[in-house]
Amino acid sequence: MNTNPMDAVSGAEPTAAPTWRQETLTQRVTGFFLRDRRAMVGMILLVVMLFAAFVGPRLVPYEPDQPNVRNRFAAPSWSHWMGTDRSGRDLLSRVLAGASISFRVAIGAALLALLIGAPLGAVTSYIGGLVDDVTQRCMDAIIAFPARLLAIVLVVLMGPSVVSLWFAIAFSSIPRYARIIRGSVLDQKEREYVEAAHAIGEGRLAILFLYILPNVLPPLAVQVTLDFASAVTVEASLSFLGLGLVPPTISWGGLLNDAQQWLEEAPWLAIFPGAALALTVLSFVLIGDAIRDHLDPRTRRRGGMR
Amino acid sequence: MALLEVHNLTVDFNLGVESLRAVDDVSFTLEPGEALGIVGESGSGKTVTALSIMRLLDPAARITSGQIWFDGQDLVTRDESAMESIRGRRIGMVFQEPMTSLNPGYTVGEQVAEVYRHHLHFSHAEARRSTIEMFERVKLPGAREMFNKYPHEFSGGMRQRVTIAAALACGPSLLIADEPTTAVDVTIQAQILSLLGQLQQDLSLALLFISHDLAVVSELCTRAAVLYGAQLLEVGSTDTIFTAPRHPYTAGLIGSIPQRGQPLEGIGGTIFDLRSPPPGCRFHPRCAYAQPRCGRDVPSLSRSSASSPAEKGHAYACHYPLSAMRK
Amino acid sequence: MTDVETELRMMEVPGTAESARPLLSVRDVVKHFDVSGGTFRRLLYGPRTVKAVDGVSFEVARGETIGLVGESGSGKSTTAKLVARLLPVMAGEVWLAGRDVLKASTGEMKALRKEIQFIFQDPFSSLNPRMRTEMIIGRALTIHFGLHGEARRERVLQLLERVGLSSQHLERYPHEFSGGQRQRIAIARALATEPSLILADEPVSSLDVSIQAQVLALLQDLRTRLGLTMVFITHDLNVAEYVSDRILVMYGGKIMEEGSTDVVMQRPLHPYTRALLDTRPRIGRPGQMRPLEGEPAVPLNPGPGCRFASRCPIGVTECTEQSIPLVEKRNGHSVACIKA
Repeated sequence: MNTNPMDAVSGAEPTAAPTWRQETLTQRVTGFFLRDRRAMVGMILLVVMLFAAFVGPRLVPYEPDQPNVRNRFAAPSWSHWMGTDRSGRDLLSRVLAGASISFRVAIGAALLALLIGAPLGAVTSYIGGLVDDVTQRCMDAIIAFPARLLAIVLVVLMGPSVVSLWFAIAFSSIPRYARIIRGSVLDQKEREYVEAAHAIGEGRLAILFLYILPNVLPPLAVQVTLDFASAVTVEASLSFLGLGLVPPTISWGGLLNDAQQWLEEAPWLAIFPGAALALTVLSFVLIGDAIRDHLDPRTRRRGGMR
Repeated sequence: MALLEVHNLTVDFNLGVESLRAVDDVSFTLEPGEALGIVGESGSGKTVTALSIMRLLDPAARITSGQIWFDGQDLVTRDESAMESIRGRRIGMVFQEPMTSLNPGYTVGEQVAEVYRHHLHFSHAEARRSTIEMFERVKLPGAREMFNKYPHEFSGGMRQRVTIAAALACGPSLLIADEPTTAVDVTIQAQILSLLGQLQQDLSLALLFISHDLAVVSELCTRAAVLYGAQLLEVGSTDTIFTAPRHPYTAGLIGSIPQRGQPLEGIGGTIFDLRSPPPGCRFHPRCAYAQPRCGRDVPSLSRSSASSPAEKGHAYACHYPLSAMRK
Repeated sequence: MTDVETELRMMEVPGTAESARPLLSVRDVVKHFDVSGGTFRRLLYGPRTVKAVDGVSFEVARGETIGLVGESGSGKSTTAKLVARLLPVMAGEVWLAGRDVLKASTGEMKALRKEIQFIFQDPFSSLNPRMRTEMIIGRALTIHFGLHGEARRERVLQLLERVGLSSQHLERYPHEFSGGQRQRIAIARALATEPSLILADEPVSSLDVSIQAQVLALLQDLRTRLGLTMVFITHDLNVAEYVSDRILVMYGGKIMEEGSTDVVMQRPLHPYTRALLDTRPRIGRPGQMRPLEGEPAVPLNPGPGCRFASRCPIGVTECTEQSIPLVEKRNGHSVACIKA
């Protein structure tokens, strides 16, 4: 309709940014793991650990608590890859059994903290005023206690079980979720697109659910991942102290506790459970760090520049 | 001899998997005491060009080829310690957002005095005296009282005066100003521009002025270079370039300035993605005068055939330049 | 009847006929911000109040575009947000086609939101990063016309085409667009409710020069085709001159001058308007720029007089002592200056 190069009205910007790829969420997530080496290493480690925890116990020839008095303190060998302990029990079987307990405790605790903390933070900060103030002071009170001490007290009160470990570990991280989501909600509330939503006539609930919440979820993903890591270590340290899961339940903390008496004679008893613990924590931290850097525009490098 | 000669400067950014060329074979010269405006939109490479001269590029960026001759030495080959004695001392730089180049924890006076102490080894008293003189020179009202104020007590315009004072403290022969008036109000912009013009004359300073605003460059500079998509499309005196542009892009930029009662000509389309530049002339997908050849052959920068003094040094990269008739 | 009498009559009974009545009427709106920094500081050092908008009145006729011009701190954006009720007002009235915007109940407000739409300065922050184009524009259609599914999609597509985009853009997220395209989406969102008034807050100032021209040309075209009424806020006199029928010059929360664009640009009466025109660099005409001394005033605890007095080249002592009203000098050209 118009020979003007401008052609502003009809077919503006015909060469509309041709290289912006349209990606689905799955493509974006896989792309992220493929591009970021840390995330990839972390993910591979995590998949290996998860496989070991949930499939591994079925593949090993020994029962984790089957003693064999004639084969005590056997060093790692082809028949016992990680050696045996003071009762001649196969350490590999025991580490694998401990892995499944560790994951169950960690995942449960982190999700529990998320499910309580996130809605609490979102709703109270969106309401604001006195509700927000009171909640924040309660959160401060929880944070004032050292997390592990608080967990110890709660486990002692509730008795040792997986469920009480969930609550004990989750309790001290609830404030973290509430705070993260509160900060994001307060930040998003001031964004111009929220004002723009008001301007087209959106109601308060629609603004919270359609506009604010989708924008505050990504930072939570980071926290959940890092919380898995911290829950694994809290569980291990509680069990190490004999306050968490007690025998016959097998946990890495318990294995390490046993190992400390025989450090010189049978160092493998400490090395293998310790390595499993360290690798699990490392996998979560690598993934969490990579996600955080990816979400942070200051560290994310894109093509844009002046 | 020219003060600054940029020859075939090429800068690449490494973005992990991909890479892009932010400055592509850009050449220009700047005579002592001359004001050259570098004009361009986002992605034109104007800021990267300036940062290359200062060797302050992002770690992901690398000068892949070209030379930057400043005062008889090639800055591209200088090591970091040599650059430190050139930056701030021989070449001053002023940025768009003055707050980023000022430290909020020190008074503005201390920060400028530090430049004197560090580069010229002045004593405290000498540095203080020179700082106050420089504050007067950049017309900071009440220069003596200003010495002990913190950056946050200043308005944007006054902060920009402080950064200009710091950039000029050691008497550089070249000042690079990267969009120094973009973040300030129109009346303050006029103050800063007239200050820069004044200082440039008084100190016979060479000025490399980077801006997206043609009118500002027209006001302050005697020559202008127009960048688009990492390449230099047209260079010449502001008088020629802004009244009789030969490159359709320059003409389009001028036509993009709204004027009452006249249809807004502007330029259709958007800038290409620097990661995948179009073949041939980079402007051809948006050019109203493009011919098939423009999509194939890259036009080289050719001199204007006109011999009038104003046309001297006028060059443009276009196969089918606009006629030299003045608007 | 003499001209003066006719004028007086017009002023007494503004627009007796329905068609002559202005679409938007803003009367003495006031917005102050308390910047004391908490209760304690307020008690200790006294209140510190920024009078961001201090008694602003104007009218906009149907189909008219007015340019609201000023520097930072002039109160131009705040004025627009008060009119759209995006900020609570302290005093004053805003009437849109006979309806009181500021006293509207929640239900009435929903209907008024349909009539008043806002275009924001920065298209990188005014679009929800986690919503696709179809949803961004479609929400307005769902809220005000109850459209869903295919019908909504079709209407969104029409709107996209109207602003120069196409069906391939429906499914994309804001980050996949350039600045100019984002602003087109924001314009389509504003057009979706079929508003009678559009408030555009610096809609082109964050865009590149060539893209700015595209978006301005688009707005101009939409204006003539759809007969839009617009309040266009800008700091750029070239832009204001290009788009507006009338210009309002604001400084320190007050209107300094008001009149038809040609008159204000060619025969400005207020020294501030003259200064704004003189400080504008013009392409191809170097050396004509004359800077204005001083800094734009933030109206913090201002005195009774003219806000511009401290920078005014022709100011006298009376300027700071008395409040200076906006006075009509000749048909529709008003100025707030005792020397004019």
